[in-house]
Amino acid sequence: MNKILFVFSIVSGAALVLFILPLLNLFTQFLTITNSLHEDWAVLLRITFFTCEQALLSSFVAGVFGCALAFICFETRVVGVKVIAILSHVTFFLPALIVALAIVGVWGNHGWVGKFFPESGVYGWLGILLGHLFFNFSVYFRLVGQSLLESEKSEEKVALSLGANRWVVFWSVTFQKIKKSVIQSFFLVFIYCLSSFVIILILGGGPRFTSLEVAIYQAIKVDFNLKLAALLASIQLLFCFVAHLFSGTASEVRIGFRPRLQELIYQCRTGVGEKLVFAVTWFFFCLVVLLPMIYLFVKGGTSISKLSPNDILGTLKFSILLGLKVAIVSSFLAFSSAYLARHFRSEKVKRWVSFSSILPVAVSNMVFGAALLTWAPSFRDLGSEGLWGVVVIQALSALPLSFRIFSESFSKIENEIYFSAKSLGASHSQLLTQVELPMLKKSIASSIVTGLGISLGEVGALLLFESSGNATFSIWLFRLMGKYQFGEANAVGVLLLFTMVCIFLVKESWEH
Amino acid sequence: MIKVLPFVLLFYSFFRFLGATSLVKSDSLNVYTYDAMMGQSGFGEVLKKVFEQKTGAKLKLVSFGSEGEALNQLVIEGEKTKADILLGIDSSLSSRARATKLFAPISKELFEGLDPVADLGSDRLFLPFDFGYLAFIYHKKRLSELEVSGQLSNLREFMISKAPTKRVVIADPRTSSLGFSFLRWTQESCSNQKLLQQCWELFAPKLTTIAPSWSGAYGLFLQGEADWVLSYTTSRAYHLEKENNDSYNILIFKEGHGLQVEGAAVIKSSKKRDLIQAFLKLLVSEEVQKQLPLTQWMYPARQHTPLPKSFKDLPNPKAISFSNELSEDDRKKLLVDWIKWVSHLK
Repeated sequence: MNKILFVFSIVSGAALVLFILPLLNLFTQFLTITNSLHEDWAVLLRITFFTCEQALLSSFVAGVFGCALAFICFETRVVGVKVIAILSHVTFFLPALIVALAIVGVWGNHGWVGKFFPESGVYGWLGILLGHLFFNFSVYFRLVGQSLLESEKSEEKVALSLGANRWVVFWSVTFQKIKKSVIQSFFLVFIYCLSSFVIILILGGGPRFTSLEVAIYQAIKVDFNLKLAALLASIQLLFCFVAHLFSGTASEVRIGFRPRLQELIYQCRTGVGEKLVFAVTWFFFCLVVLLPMIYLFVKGGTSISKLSPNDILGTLKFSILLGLKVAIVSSFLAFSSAYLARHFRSEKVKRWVSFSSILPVAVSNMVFGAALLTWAPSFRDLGSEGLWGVVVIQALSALPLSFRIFSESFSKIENEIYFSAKSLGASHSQLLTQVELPMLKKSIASSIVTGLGISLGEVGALLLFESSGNATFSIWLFRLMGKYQFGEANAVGVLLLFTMVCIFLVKESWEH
Repeated sequence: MIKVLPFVLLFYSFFRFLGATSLVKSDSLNVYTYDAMMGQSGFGEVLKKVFEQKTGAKLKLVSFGSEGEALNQLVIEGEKTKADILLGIDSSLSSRARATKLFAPISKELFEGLDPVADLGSDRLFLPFDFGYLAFIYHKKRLSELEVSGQLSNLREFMISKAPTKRVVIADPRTSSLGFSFLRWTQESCSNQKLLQQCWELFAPKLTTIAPSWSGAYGLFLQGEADWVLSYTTSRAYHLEKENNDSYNILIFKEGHGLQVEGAAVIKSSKKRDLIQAFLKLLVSEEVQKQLPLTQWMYPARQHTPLPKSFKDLPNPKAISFSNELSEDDRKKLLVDWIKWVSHLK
């Protein structure tokens, strides 16, 4: 085994141990004393059923919207694709409470759109689906969009020249090419929706919409019933595991919009048709994504002046510094794992490395945080004011996405390049520094941005571990809400949104 | 350079771990509390400033997401905890906190001069420092006087009345201490289980939604999503004081209002008796107590503490404190029943 492989194995192994041991410690509590649980099993069963039901429906609805949007954006020339692409990155990372309130501002009884439909009401299935659609359409948009961008159009051209119409060509040729990424996105979104909490509580409208995550919250944070929490987390993990098996481990995520010259088979042939596609696309994008964001801007924009510049700068500095720590740790871990998955000879080991790197997606930060604290209570004192706990949890939650970014890029480095470099006498370290790292520059940027984005929007780990009173934008926002200052909280939401858009723009410009 | 980067990071991490700041300092007091106390204009900051000025010792506030999480952390750490005080424990958590046996009784003289309604038990394990009355808040422009007067004089009647204004938003008792206190208030207001069930079943269709926290519920109310929101009587004071806005009013029940009391508890294993005593004395002193209304938006527990004008003008309802403390099993059963009663929401 070469030295680099050895070092990266140690790093990935240590991360895996740090992830697995606290969880094992939590789960053993449940395995050893299950008979002392006095839970209402019928209620538990109903909660489990609803959790799966809403996750399936939400994944389906987000899929229809996300795939349609990706297809229209990448297969036709709709004006404003870049704006859609940038905004779709941001939605994924916003704090759920501010999004839920923004959705209510648009779709609620007195909302911009909702007031025209007073009888329908946003609370219930409509709210849950809208909330999950806002967060998760971007997963489809990115994965399916990337597949569309990378697929050759020669087969479609042949089919068209043989007289097939465009619907037939789409279903029999293009859809077959993107089918895998559609399925992967579906299961990824399904896993995210399984651990949904705030959206279901606020937009669901009451306890008849109780998900497993709500029950876990109650077990961990209110009752401190770790046995029940472990049982519920096990059920959640089981579903995630099954979803993961279905979705496969192949990765196709690449964050960022990279249009390339290609023939547009599905472009409308008439000007009217093009305008219609443009209007329909933007109409639905506005309804689902843009209006809640505009609502946030309108409500928060006027209150920005109420925030002290010193507070803004202090929070920005703390948020970015914490985000960078998270981004560096998660990128390093993800790079190590992707390197192992690329260079290990055994297929079995490769599969395990891939699986363990995306495992954290199946465990919510709340469960992992509780497991970590129970396993090692002193973790809260490590680093400056418990910051290491935050970094560990946030980095692990960014790991699956970063891993996908790196493993995708590694898989694109052709074997011939390795053979050529080796035949010229390159060592493993030279291969890494002079071949792989330069070729993975864009992936490193993507991974850093992902880590930053996750850290900026995350709240749970900070509330659990950070004890100094320092605040990121998300925490500041929650504190303001707790003190009646909802206008100012919206203003902080605007700043958070603005910071995220800036980060993505910087990344985009750097890449080009 | 790039070759050594991973090693530099590893070493950096290792030394940061080694250099972890310790909570244990003889001239400092470690206080576990919840996040809402933190921040620049928070009560925690006021307390820290005054304590450090008066004693010369450091006050380290360690914040958690909620008071329940702070208690959980203490349970995890047990007697080895580095905390000296738990600040912010409320009536809904007191029975669970008592059961941990982690807390020591507080000297009797500190309770002198405190408002009798701010009661957290006769065993003196929790020193009350603030309290608030639960209440339904409404916007004058959205509800007419007639509609409000039609809401009758006690909570039970408000819940079952057939008034045209239906839209109410409350906090979830499973995830919010305010929500749980409200559930307890309904329990006190309804004399038996059957009546309680009936009240909730009739109240459920009036609920626009049940938010996970007070801030979620109040945010929805301010957006116009509900006519009524479950909050505190002091919410009106906030709008008067900070926004000069008289539009938010309180529905007062003659029968009385549920009470939420917050207190501080001393960790039995702590050796810093003098600092703890100084802290608690300061906590209930007039100097600190008078800061409470405009930082925590709660009433100070010390009687005759000067109040800002916005608080003086508030109605002073009769307090309904929850007479019997619920055991853990009863608390869980109540929540399970509640889910069944309100699960038939439209």
